[in-house]
Amino acid sequence: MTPGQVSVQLAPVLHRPSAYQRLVTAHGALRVNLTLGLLLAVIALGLIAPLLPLPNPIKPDPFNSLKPPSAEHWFGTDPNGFDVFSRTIHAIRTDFALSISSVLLGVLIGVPLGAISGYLGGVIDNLINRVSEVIQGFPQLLFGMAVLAVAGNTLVNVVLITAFYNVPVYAKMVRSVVLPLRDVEFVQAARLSGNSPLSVVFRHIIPNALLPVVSQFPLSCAYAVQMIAGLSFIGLGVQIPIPEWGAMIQQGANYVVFSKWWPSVFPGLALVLSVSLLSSLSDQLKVLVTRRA
Amino acid sequence: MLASARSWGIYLLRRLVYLMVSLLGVSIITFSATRLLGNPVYLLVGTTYTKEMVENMTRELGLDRPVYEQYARYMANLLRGDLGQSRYTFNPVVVDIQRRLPATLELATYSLLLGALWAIPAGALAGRYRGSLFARLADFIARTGVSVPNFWLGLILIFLLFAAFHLLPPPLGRIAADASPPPAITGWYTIDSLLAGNLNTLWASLKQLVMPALTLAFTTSPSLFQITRNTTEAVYSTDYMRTAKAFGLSPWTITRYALKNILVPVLTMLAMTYGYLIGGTVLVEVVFAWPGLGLYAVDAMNHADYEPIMGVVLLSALFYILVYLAADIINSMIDPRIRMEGI
Amino acid sequence: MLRNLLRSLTFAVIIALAAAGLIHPSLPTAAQEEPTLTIAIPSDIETLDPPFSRFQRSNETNYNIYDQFFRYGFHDTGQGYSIYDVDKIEGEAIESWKLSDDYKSIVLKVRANKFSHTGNPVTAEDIVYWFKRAYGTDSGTKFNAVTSNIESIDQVKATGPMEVTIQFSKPSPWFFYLFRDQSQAPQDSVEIAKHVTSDDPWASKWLAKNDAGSGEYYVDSWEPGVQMVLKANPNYWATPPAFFRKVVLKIVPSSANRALLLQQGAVDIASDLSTDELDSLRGSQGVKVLSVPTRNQMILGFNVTKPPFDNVKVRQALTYAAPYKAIVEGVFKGRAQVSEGPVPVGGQFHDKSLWTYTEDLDKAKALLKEAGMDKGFEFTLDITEGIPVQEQIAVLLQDQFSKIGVTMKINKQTSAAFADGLGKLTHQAWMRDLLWYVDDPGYTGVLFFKTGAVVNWTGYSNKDVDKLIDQMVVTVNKDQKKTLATEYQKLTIADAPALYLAEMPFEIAMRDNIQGYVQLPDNLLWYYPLKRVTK
Repeated sequence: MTPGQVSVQLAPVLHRPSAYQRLVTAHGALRVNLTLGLLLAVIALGLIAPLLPLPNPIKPDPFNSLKPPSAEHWFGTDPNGFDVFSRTIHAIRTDFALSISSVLLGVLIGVPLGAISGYLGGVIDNLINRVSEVIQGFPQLLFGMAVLAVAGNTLVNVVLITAFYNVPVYAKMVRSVVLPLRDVEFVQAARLSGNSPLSVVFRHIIPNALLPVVSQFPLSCAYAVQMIAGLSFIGLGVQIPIPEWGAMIQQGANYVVFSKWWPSVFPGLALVLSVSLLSSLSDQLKVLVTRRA
Repeated sequence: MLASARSWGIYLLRRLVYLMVSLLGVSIITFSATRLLGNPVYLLVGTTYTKEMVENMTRELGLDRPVYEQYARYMANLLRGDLGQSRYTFNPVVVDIQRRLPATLELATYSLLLGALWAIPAGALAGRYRGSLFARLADFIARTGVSVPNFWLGLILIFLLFAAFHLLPPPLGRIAADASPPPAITGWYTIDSLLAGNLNTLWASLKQLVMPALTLAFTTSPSLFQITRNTTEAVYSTDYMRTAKAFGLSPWTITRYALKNILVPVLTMLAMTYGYLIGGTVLVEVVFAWPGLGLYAVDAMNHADYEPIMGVVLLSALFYILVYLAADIINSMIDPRIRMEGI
Repeated sequence: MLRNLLRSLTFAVIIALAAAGLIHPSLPTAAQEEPTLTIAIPSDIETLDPPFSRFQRSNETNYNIYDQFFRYGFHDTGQGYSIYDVDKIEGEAIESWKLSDDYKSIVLKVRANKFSHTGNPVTAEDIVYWFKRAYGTDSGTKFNAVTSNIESIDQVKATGPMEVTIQFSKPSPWFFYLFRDQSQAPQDSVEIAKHVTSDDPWASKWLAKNDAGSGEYYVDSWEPGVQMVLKANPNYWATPPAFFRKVVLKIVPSSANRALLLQQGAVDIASDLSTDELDSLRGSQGVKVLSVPTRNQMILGFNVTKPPFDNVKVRQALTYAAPYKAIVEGVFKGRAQVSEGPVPVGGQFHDKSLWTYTEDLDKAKALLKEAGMDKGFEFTLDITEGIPVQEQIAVLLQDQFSKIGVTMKINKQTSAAFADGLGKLTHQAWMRDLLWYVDDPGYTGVLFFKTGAVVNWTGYSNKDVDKLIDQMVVTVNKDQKKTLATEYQKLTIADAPALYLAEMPFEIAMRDNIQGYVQLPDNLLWYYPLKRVTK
């Protein structure tokens, strides 16, 4: 529900374009379809990976380690003899699952925090603001390393620290949406009719912030994938032999100088593709957020 | 005159307060992370210990005291410059950091320069000539830069430029294997070589810098590019620019006006990028065996030595805040309005 | 206009970079005034104080800068390297000795030598001080002394300016084997006395960073994290003098980079390379890879104090299930061998006939059923991170065990955390390599299998085995030893507290003009006999 909605309903019913149509209008069908299509294809591939006729991604074969790409192993094999193609596909599940859950957690904490901050204002707002700024100025990878070194190297902790970095992003975003809305008519109306401040926040303000959150979400997932891959590259996060792009790149890293490029290059390409699709999507979704006059 | 000095005074005071608050925030977060998430005693006492050693260390570290007292001790240590001791180099963390900092600074600075060399002119041109082929190409390069993980890009560069085509030397650190580092004055191999008048060493160090600096430049310059492009576009489409053009002012004058307005956001982004780079070189340092702060932190982590990591985190956060503050001050010199603004 | 300018600028930069890549001034290599050996090592030297050295890296340096009491003789194998002789004991810091007939006392004659940095002579006082410091610091050297049945300083006396007499509480079969270890070497007691403080009565802080030895080499300079330079000791007693007058230890953390440096000829020896890197180097010009069979065993240790490994049938089942062939031939490319039990194949008293296990999944399943585990079970294997060969073996184990219904999780830990778990018996199962540099099952037994022993990382306890070990500790006669060892093997193989996965070779890569390599029982590199030949 946008602020303009009320007046539109009183007028003769106009055809309201769907989100998809608005995207196409803004960016062109080719771009939108390409991005959405490829992204959905990647996610679908990840979902059905165990059902596909792929070699077992965790079946070691030391007799066939570090074999270059061939008809039998499309992406070659890694130092353990694992099939790189199969692992690259299976890693979609790992990376997407971890990043989506981290960002979701960050959203679930950040959005209410930002809304409360923006709505209540004053000292609390200031405090949350300052803390957000400080967190955003932190060297993320280093701090992630430090936290995992102290709290233990588990997948849960990886998700938590990535979520932690997403909280200020969404808090700030929601706050900036909420601030101008504080004194808008329908909110005042809600307040006057006796709703408690909390319900005003949750039932009237937050829904307005959803659109920017949704448009930012894929971009955050892109950053989360990169952070998780980065942490895995230095040995934090997933344990062997779970396929994950960063860990795969790390396993192949030592062999690049010997011209054995395939264990690291292919997972990296998959990573680049996923990240660019996600950030592209976010970029395109921004159009939905701009206010109509 | 007095009014200007007064506004400067208030501005600087405000900025100083913010600096203190940020530093306080950083210290609280790092303190909490250590004390609340793990037990520092077991992290510090090592692998062979007795019950008495644990109890002694607990008392020594003040862990049996209330939290606020512990925090006070922590801050006192920080202000004294005591960041703890590394359990595997056996040096105080400050000493180790002093030794490793120039390597990271050198790499970060060259990366920033390389990135800015490309991003700012390209961004300005792309913003000025929106929709042109150049703008679209530059945009594509920037997007790729955001999506590519820097550690992977480093490996690709190593494979292409070293392993496959032998254009650059192997990624073995800051200087070629058969050359010795120049006598240390600043700790920057390039500057020290120049100061020593040794062109061979300069060349050997520059060759080693190419790949890691390129990697970092490529992945950190996109934001510079975008900010420059967006600001340029915005500035050129303002009324007063169009007015200036209509008045027939020379292109150079118009460009000067534009630059002054573009400068502020770009400078801010430069500062943020530089601040990010100090903590952000970690993975690239690992890939290129670059003996800087990042590699130091990773080595510490592999030895379950958490104090060096925290030291590097604090330093990076401090650096970021300071660089940001410096940029802010420079910006307010360029644009006095910033001084007047509130939060 | 600006656009054109930019374009030409871009071209200019590209051309400049390309030109720079092709025409670089050749770096003049510094003329080597003295023969220098350059070795690429993975990490810094932990400490220069031998009793406290826990890692191979510092063990090796200390072996070369300190003059040990004894050393093994060696002979040329004709395969490009020499190997130590466990039966030939030679004196280093000790010139000669006389062992009493009842093996309960020994008179040591100290060799005339000087400490490298101060020129102080090595005397009997230094030997006595060594023992004093061993007991006082309660460190590895004390352990060696006590295990040699020299339990207190009262048993050690200087009976002349260059003579020391030692009383053993019981005959020791291992005195010589233990006292050739890197840490058994006199330290400059006169110089050390200057650095003793009330907090630090044994000058441990000073000795950690300073060389107080009298070995073939001495520490000339040390840049922490970068490199250490050793120089040949001009006053060393042995002839001929060492070929290499300078040894540079370059710290290169990445193994791939070490291999690269070797390939390029920038270093003479690259240590600690992975099997894959060694394989890549085997075909390279100018490089040779020596592969020496050793008694280094890759062991999977079970924690027998907790389920599921408190049940011997479960342990035996996994011993039948281990993929020996894939490990030996796949991971090690045929250069390792199946270890066949706690006494390694290359060790004295190894009895082939006692190894009854074969790779047999059906037998494994049957044993699990007998143990009541036919539904399978789950466990976690802890390994140290950063060791590719351990990862490769672990994934093979995981795969193979899944075939008998056992789910194994692999947990990579930092070396510190891993070591911690070993000492506290918190691992469910662990894997690491163990090299018993004393070739005597009694030694292994007293450290590893005896109830409550220092290095008993499995929690194993068997009264019969304990009795055998106690007897072996005091048995010097070889035939008696053999009988005891056979019985000891039978019991430990049946109890299977540890799974012996493979006996690994020691492989070292060096330039092919480096000769004189001597393989030592602890895999440390001995710089003294090395030389460079011109082809």
